[in-house]
Amino acid sequence: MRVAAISNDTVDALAHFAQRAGIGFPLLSDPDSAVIREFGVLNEDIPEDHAFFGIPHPVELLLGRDRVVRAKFHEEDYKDRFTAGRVLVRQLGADQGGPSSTEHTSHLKVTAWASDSVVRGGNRFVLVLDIELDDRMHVYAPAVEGYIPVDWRMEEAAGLTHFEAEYPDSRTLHLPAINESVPVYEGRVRLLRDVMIGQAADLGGMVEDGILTIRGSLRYQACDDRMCYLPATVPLEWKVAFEQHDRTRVPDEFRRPR
Amino acid sequence: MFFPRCREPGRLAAFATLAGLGLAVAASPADAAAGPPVGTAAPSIEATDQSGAMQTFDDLAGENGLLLLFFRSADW
Repeated sequence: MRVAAISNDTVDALAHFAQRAGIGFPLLSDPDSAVIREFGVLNEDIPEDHAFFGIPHPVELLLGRDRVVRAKFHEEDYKDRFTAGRVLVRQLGADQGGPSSTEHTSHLKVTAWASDSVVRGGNRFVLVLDIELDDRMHVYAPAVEGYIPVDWRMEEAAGLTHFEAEYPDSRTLHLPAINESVPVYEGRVRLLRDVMIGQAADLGGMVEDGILTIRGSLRYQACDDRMCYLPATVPLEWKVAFEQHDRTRVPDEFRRPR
Repeated sequence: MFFPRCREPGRLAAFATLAGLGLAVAASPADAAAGPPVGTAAPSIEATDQSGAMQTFDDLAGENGLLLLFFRSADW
Protein backbone atom coordinates (compact mmCIF):
# COMPACT_ATOMS: atom_id res chain seq x y z
CA MET A 1 0.00 0.00 0.00
CA ARG A 2 1.40 3.37 -1.01
CA VAL A 3 0.31 6.88 -0.11
CA ALA A 4 -0.07 10.03 -2.23
CA ALA A 5 -1.68 13.37 -1.50
CA ILE A 6 -3.10 15.88 -3.94
CA SER A 7 -4.04 19.55 -3.75
CA ASN A 8 -4.37 22.46 -6.16
CA ASP A 9 -1.06 23.94 -4.98
CA THR A 10 1.77 24.65 -7.39
CA VAL A 11 4.72 22.27 -7.68
CA ASP A 12 6.93 24.92 -6.03
CA ALA A 13 4.64 25.22 -3.00
CA LEU A 14 4.49 21.43 -2.63
CA ALA A 15 8.25 21.05 -3.06
CA HIS A 16 8.89 23.57 -0.29
CA PHE A 17 6.34 21.94 2.01
CA ALA A 18 7.68 18.42 1.36
CA GLN A 19 11.23 19.49 2.11
CA ARG A 20 10.31 21.38 5.27
CA ALA A 21 8.06 18.61 6.63
CA GLY A 22 10.30 15.73 5.49
CA ILE A 23 7.58 14.17 3.33
CA GLY A 24 8.84 11.33 1.18
CA PHE A 25 5.62 10.23 -0.54
CA PRO A 26 4.29 11.95 -3.68
CA LEU A 27 2.49 15.28 -3.28
CA LEU A 28 0.60 15.87 -6.50
CA SER A 29 0.00 19.31 -7.96
CA ASP A 30 -3.39 19.90 -9.55
CA PRO A 31 -3.28 23.67 -10.10
CA ASP A 32 -6.38 23.87 -12.31
CA SER A 33 -8.21 21.31 -10.10
CA ALA A 34 -8.73 18.98 -13.08
CA VAL A 35 -8.17 15.77 -11.07
CA ILE A 36 -10.10 17.23 -8.14
CA ARG A 37 -13.12 17.87 -10.41
CA GLU A 38 -12.77 14.49 -12.12
CA PHE A 39 -13.01 12.80 -8.72
CA GLY A 40 -16.03 14.93 -7.77
CA VAL A 41 -14.40 16.37 -4.66
CA LEU A 42 -14.21 20.07 -5.64
CA ASN A 43 -15.36 22.27 -2.78
CA GLU A 44 -18.14 24.20 -4.50
CA ASP A 45 -19.05 26.19 -1.41
CA ILE A 46 -16.21 28.57 -2.24
CA PRO A 47 -17.05 31.35 -4.74
CA GLU A 48 -15.18 31.18 -8.04
CA ASP A 49 -13.64 34.60 -7.48
CA HIS A 50 -12.18 33.59 -4.09
CA ALA A 51 -8.46 32.81 -3.74
CA PHE A 52 -9.29 29.41 -2.27
CA PHE A 53 -11.57 28.35 -5.12
CA GLY A 54 -10.33 25.05 -6.47
CA ILE A 55 -9.54 23.34 -3.17
CA PRO A 56 -10.93 19.83 -2.64
CA HIS A 57 -13.11 18.53 0.14
CA PRO A 58 -10.97 16.69 2.67
CA VAL A 59 -11.45 13.15 1.37
CA GLU A 60 -9.24 10.10 1.63
CA LEU A 61 -9.74 7.17 -0.73
CA LEU A 62 -8.36 3.69 -0.31
CA LEU A 63 -7.97 2.41 -3.88
CA GLY A 64 -7.21 -1.16 -4.85
CA ARG A 65 -4.62 -2.03 -7.49
CA ASP A 66 -7.59 -2.16 -9.90
CA ARG A 67 -8.44 1.49 -8.97
CA VAL A 68 -11.70 0.42 -7.33
CA VAL A 69 -12.58 2.40 -4.19
CA ARG A 70 -12.22 0.06 -1.21
CA ALA A 71 -12.98 2.67 1.45
CA LYS A 72 -13.67 6.36 1.68
CA PHE A 73 -13.16 8.79 4.53
CA HIS A 74 -14.73 12.20 4.44
CA GLU A 75 -14.65 14.89 7.08
CA GLU A 76 -17.19 17.67 7.29
CA ASP A 77 -14.72 20.15 8.74
CA TYR A 78 -11.20 20.46 7.37
CA LYS A 79 -9.91 20.83 10.94
CA ASP A 80 -11.13 17.33 11.82
CA ARG A 81 -9.15 14.49 10.37
CA PHE A 82 -9.19 10.73 10.47
CA THR A 83 -5.63 9.67 11.15
CA ALA A 84 -3.51 7.41 8.99
CA GLY A 85 -3.30 4.99 11.91
CA ARG A 86 -7.08 4.70 11.97
CA VAL A 87 -7.07 3.64 8.32
CA LEU A 88 -4.32 1.10 8.98
CA VAL A 89 -6.14 -0.46 11.95
CA ARG A 90 -9.63 -0.49 10.48
CA GLN A 91 -9.00 -1.25 6.83
CA LEU A 92 -5.77 -3.21 6.96
CA GLY A 93 -5.96 -4.82 10.41
CA ALA A 94 -2.71 -3.28 11.64
CA ASP A 95 -1.48 -4.75 14.92
CA GLN A 96 0.43 -1.79 16.24
CA GLY A 97 0.30 1.96 16.45
CA GLY A 98 1.08 3.95 19.57
CA PRO A 99 2.63 2.59 22.77
CA SER A 100 0.69 -0.13 24.58
CA SER A 101 -0.02 -0.90 28.20
CA THR A 102 -0.97 -4.35 29.47
CA GLU A 103 -2.94 -5.41 32.55
CA HIS A 104 -3.09 -8.97 33.82
CA THR A 105 -5.90 -10.36 35.95
CA SER A 106 -6.65 -13.88 37.19
CA HIS A 107 -8.76 -14.49 34.08
CA LEU A 108 -7.32 -12.54 31.19
CA LYS A 109 -4.75 -10.17 29.79
CA VAL A 110 -5.84 -6.88 28.25
CA THR A 111 -3.57 -4.69 26.14
CA ALA A 112 -4.62 -1.12 25.39
CA TRP A 113 -3.08 0.81 22.49
CA ALA A 114 -4.03 3.62 20.14
CA SER A 115 -3.88 3.54 16.35
CA ASP A 116 -1.40 6.44 16.27
CA SER A 117 1.76 7.28 18.18
CA VAL A 118 1.33 11.03 17.55
CA VAL A 119 -1.94 12.98 17.35
CA ARG A 120 -2.90 16.61 16.80
CA GLY A 121 -5.96 18.68 17.53
CA GLY A 122 -9.02 17.56 15.57
CA ASN A 123 -7.68 14.05 15.00
CA ARG A 124 -10.11 11.14 15.06
CA PHE A 125 -8.28 7.93 15.82
CA VAL A 126 -8.97 4.49 17.26
CA LEU A 127 -8.45 3.06 20.71
CA VAL A 128 -7.86 -0.68 20.65
CA LEU A 129 -8.33 -3.28 23.38
CA ASP A 130 -6.77 -6.65 22.70
CA ILE A 131 -8.13 -9.13 25.23
CA GLU A 132 -6.60 -12.55 25.69
CA LEU A 133 -8.61 -14.87 27.90
CA ASP A 134 -6.95 -17.64 29.87
CA ASP A 135 -7.58 -21.25 28.84
CA ARG A 136 -11.17 -22.44 29.31
CA MET A 137 -12.24 -18.96 30.44
CA HIS A 138 -15.01 -16.94 28.81
CA VAL A 139 -16.64 -13.55 29.30
CA TYR A 140 -20.08 -12.47 28.15
CA ALA A 141 -20.82 -10.46 25.00
CA PRO A 142 -22.99 -7.31 25.26
CA ALA A 143 -26.08 -9.09 23.90
CA VAL A 144 -26.17 -11.54 26.82
CA GLU A 145 -29.34 -11.79 28.88
CA GLY A 146 -29.01 -12.13 32.60
CA TYR A 147 -25.23 -12.20 32.94
CA ILE A 148 -22.75 -9.34 33.29
CA PRO A 149 -21.33 -8.53 29.85
CA VAL A 150 -17.98 -6.94 29.03
CA ASP A 151 -18.39 -3.21 29.43
CA TRP A 152 -15.75 -0.80 28.15
CA ARG A 153 -16.25 2.57 29.81
CA MET A 154 -14.45 5.83 29.16
CA GLU A 155 -13.48 8.51 31.63
CA GLU A 156 -15.12 11.77 30.59
CA ALA A 157 -12.67 14.55 29.77
CA ALA A 158 -13.01 18.03 28.30
CA GLY A 159 -11.94 18.06 24.66
CA LEU A 160 -12.43 14.31 24.20
CA THR A 161 -15.30 12.86 22.19
CA HIS A 162 -15.61 9.13 22.47
CA PHE A 163 -17.81 7.11 20.17
CA GLU A 164 -19.50 3.81 20.96
CA ALA A 165 -17.33 0.79 21.63
CA GLU A 166 -17.47 -1.79 18.86
CA TYR A 167 -17.67 -5.39 20.01
CA PRO A 168 -16.98 -8.28 17.62
CA ASP A 169 -19.37 -11.11 16.89
CA SER A 170 -19.60 -13.55 19.76
CA ARG A 171 -19.85 -17.32 19.90
CA THR A 172 -22.81 -19.13 21.42
CA LEU A 173 -21.86 -21.33 24.34
CA HIS A 174 -24.27 -24.03 25.47
CA LEU A 175 -24.27 -24.81 29.17
CA PRO A 176 -25.78 -28.31 29.52
CA ALA A 177 -25.80 -28.24 33.32
CA ILE A 178 -28.36 -25.42 33.36
CA ASN A 179 -29.57 -25.85 29.75
CA GLU A 180 -28.70 -22.30 28.66
CA SER A 181 -27.11 -20.87 25.54
CA VAL A 182 -25.24 -17.61 26.00
CA PRO A 183 -23.15 -15.31 23.75
CA VAL A 184 -19.53 -15.33 24.91
CA TYR A 185 -16.01 -14.38 23.99
CA GLU A 186 -13.14 -16.82 24.35
CA GLY A 187 -9.50 -16.76 23.30
CA ARG A 188 -8.46 -13.49 21.67
CA VAL A 189 -10.91 -10.62 21.22
CA ARG A 190 -10.34 -7.13 19.77
CA LEU A 191 -12.56 -4.20 20.72
CA LEU A 192 -12.36 -0.87 18.91
CA ARG A 193 -13.57 2.61 19.75
CA ASP A 194 -13.16 5.85 17.82
CA VAL A 195 -12.18 8.95 19.75
CA MET A 196 -11.77 12.51 18.53
CA ILE A 197 -9.83 15.17 20.34
CA GLY A 198 -10.46 18.90 20.24
CA GLN A 199 -7.96 21.58 19.40
CA ALA A 200 -5.07 22.13 21.83
CA ALA A 201 -6.83 24.87 23.77
CA ASP A 202 -9.76 22.54 24.57
CA LEU A 203 -7.74 19.70 26.01
CA GLY A 204 -6.97 21.18 29.43
CA GLY A 205 -5.36 18.69 31.78
CA MET A 206 -5.30 15.84 29.28
CA VAL A 207 -1.91 16.88 27.90
CA GLU A 208 1.12 16.96 30.17
CA ASP A 209 4.71 17.27 28.92
CA GLY A 210 3.51 16.63 25.39
CA ILE A 211 1.70 13.39 26.28
CA LEU A 212 -2.06 13.00 25.89
CA THR A 213 -3.50 10.57 28.42
CA ILE A 214 -6.90 8.95 27.93
CA ARG A 215 -8.41 6.76 30.64
CA GLY A 216 -11.17 4.21 30.86
CA SER A 217 -12.00 0.83 32.34
CA LEU A 218 -13.11 -2.63 31.36
CA ARG A 219 -15.65 -4.43 33.49
CA TYR A 220 -16.35 -8.10 32.96
CA GLN A 221 -17.37 -11.29 34.62
CA ALA A 222 -15.30 -14.32 33.75
CA CYS A 223 -16.55 -17.88 34.00
CA ASP A 224 -15.21 -21.28 33.10
CA ASP A 225 -17.13 -24.50 32.57
CA ARG A 226 -17.62 -24.97 36.32
CA MET A 227 -18.01 -21.61 37.97
CA CYS A 228 -18.22 -17.86 37.62
CA TYR A 229 -15.76 -15.55 39.31
CA LEU A 230 -16.39 -12.20 40.93
CA PRO A 231 -16.92 -9.37 38.44
CA ALA A 232 -13.72 -7.39 37.93
CA THR A 233 -12.85 -3.93 36.66
CA VAL A 234 -9.53 -3.30 34.92
CA PRO A 235 -8.23 0.29 34.68
CA LEU A 236 -7.22 1.27 31.15
CA GLU A 237 -4.85 3.96 29.98
CA TRP A 238 -3.72 5.15 26.56
CA LYS A 239 -0.77 7.54 26.20
CA VAL A 240 -0.14 9.25 22.88
CA ALA A 241 2.29 12.03 21.98
CA PHE A 242 0.46 15.28 21.27
CA GLU A 243 1.92 17.77 18.80
CA GLN A 244 0.82 21.20 17.68
CA HIS A 245 -0.21 21.74 14.08
CA ASP A 246 2.44 22.93 11.65
CA ARG A 247 1.31 26.50 10.95
CA THR A 248 4.32 27.63 8.94
CA ARG A 249 3.35 29.07 5.56
CA VAL A 250 5.30 28.66 2.35
CA PRO A 251 7.52 31.64 1.45
CA ASP A 252 5.83 34.69 -0.09
CA GLU A 253 6.89 33.89 -3.63
CA PHE A 254 5.03 30.56 -3.56
CA ARG A 255 1.82 31.86 -2.04
CA ARG A 256 -1.29 32.12 -4.13
CA PRO A 257 -2.60 35.70 -4.53
CA ARG A 258 -5.44 36.66 -2.19
CA MET B 1 -12.79 -15.86 44.66
CA PHE B 2 -15.84 -17.17 42.88
CA PHE B 3 -19.53 -17.65 43.21
CA PRO B 4 -22.07 -19.82 41.38
CA ARG B 5 -23.61 -18.67 38.13
CA CYS B 6 -26.25 -16.02 38.74
CA ARG B 7 -28.43 -13.83 36.63
CA GLU B 8 -28.72 -10.06 36.64
CA PRO B 9 -31.80 -9.13 34.56
CA GLY B 10 -31.74 -5.42 35.41
CA ARG B 11 -28.72 -4.82 33.20
CA LEU B 12 -30.19 -6.18 30.01
CA ALA B 13 -31.90 -3.07 28.68
CA ALA B 14 -28.84 -0.87 29.09
CA PHE B 15 -26.55 -3.22 27.23
CA ALA B 16 -29.04 -3.94 24.46
CA THR B 17 -29.11 -0.17 23.86
CA LEU B 18 -25.32 -0.03 23.86
CA ALA B 19 -25.07 -2.83 21.32
CA GLY B 20 -27.66 -1.13 19.12
CA LEU B 21 -25.79 2.15 19.14
CA GLY B 22 -22.59 0.36 18.23
CA LEU B 23 -24.24 -1.12 15.16
CA ALA B 24 -25.67 2.25 14.16
CA VAL B 25 -22.24 3.87 14.28
CA ALA B 26 -20.62 1.06 12.32
CA ALA B 27 -23.29 1.29 9.61
CA SER B 28 -23.08 5.01 8.97
CA PRO B 29 -19.94 5.78 6.95
CA ALA B 30 -19.98 9.02 5.01
CA ASP B 31 -20.55 7.21 1.73
CA ALA B 32 -23.01 9.80 0.51
CA ALA B 33 -20.29 12.43 0.64
CA ALA B 34 -18.11 13.76 -2.16
CA GLY B 35 -16.00 11.45 -4.30
CA PRO B 36 -16.56 8.15 -6.08
CA PRO B 37 -18.66 5.66 -4.12
CA VAL B 38 -17.11 2.61 -2.51
CA GLY B 39 -17.07 -0.28 -4.98
CA THR B 40 -16.76 1.88 -8.11
CA ALA B 41 -13.66 2.57 -10.17
CA ALA B 42 -11.96 5.90 -9.48
CA PRO B 43 -10.99 8.15 -12.41
CA SER B 44 -7.48 7.94 -13.79
CA ILE B 45 -4.83 10.27 -12.39
CA GLU B 46 -2.21 12.31 -14.17
CA ALA B 47 -0.45 14.99 -12.17
CA THR B 48 3.00 16.39 -11.43
CA ASP B 49 4.62 15.60 -8.10
CA GLN B 50 6.79 17.85 -5.92
CA SER B 51 9.92 16.88 -7.84
CA GLY B 52 8.36 17.84 -11.17
CA ALA B 53 7.82 14.25 -12.34
CA MET B 54 4.57 13.26 -14.03
CA GLN B 55 2.74 10.54 -12.08
CA THR B 56 -0.12 8.27 -13.07
CA PHE B 57 -2.14 5.85 -10.97
CA ASP B 58 0.00 2.95 -12.17
CA ASP B 59 3.13 4.80 -11.06
CA LEU B 60 1.65 5.67 -7.67
CA ALA B 61 -0.07 2.43 -6.64
CA GLY B 62 1.75 -0.37 -4.89
CA GLU B 63 0.93 -4.06 -4.88
CA ASN B 64 -1.98 -3.44 -2.52
CA GLY B 65 -3.15 -0.19 -4.06
CA LEU B 66 -3.01 3.44 -3.03
CA LEU B 67 -4.25 5.64 -0.21
CA LEU B 68 -5.03 8.94 -1.96
CA LEU B 69 -5.56 12.01 0.22
CA PHE B 70 -7.18 15.18 -1.07
CA PHE B 71 -5.98 18.02 1.13
CA ARG B 72 -6.79 21.67 1.38
CA SER B 73 -3.42 23.25 0.69
CA ALA B 74 0.25 23.36 1.64
CA ASP B 75 -0.06 27.13 1.22
CA TRP B 76 -2.77 28.15 3.58
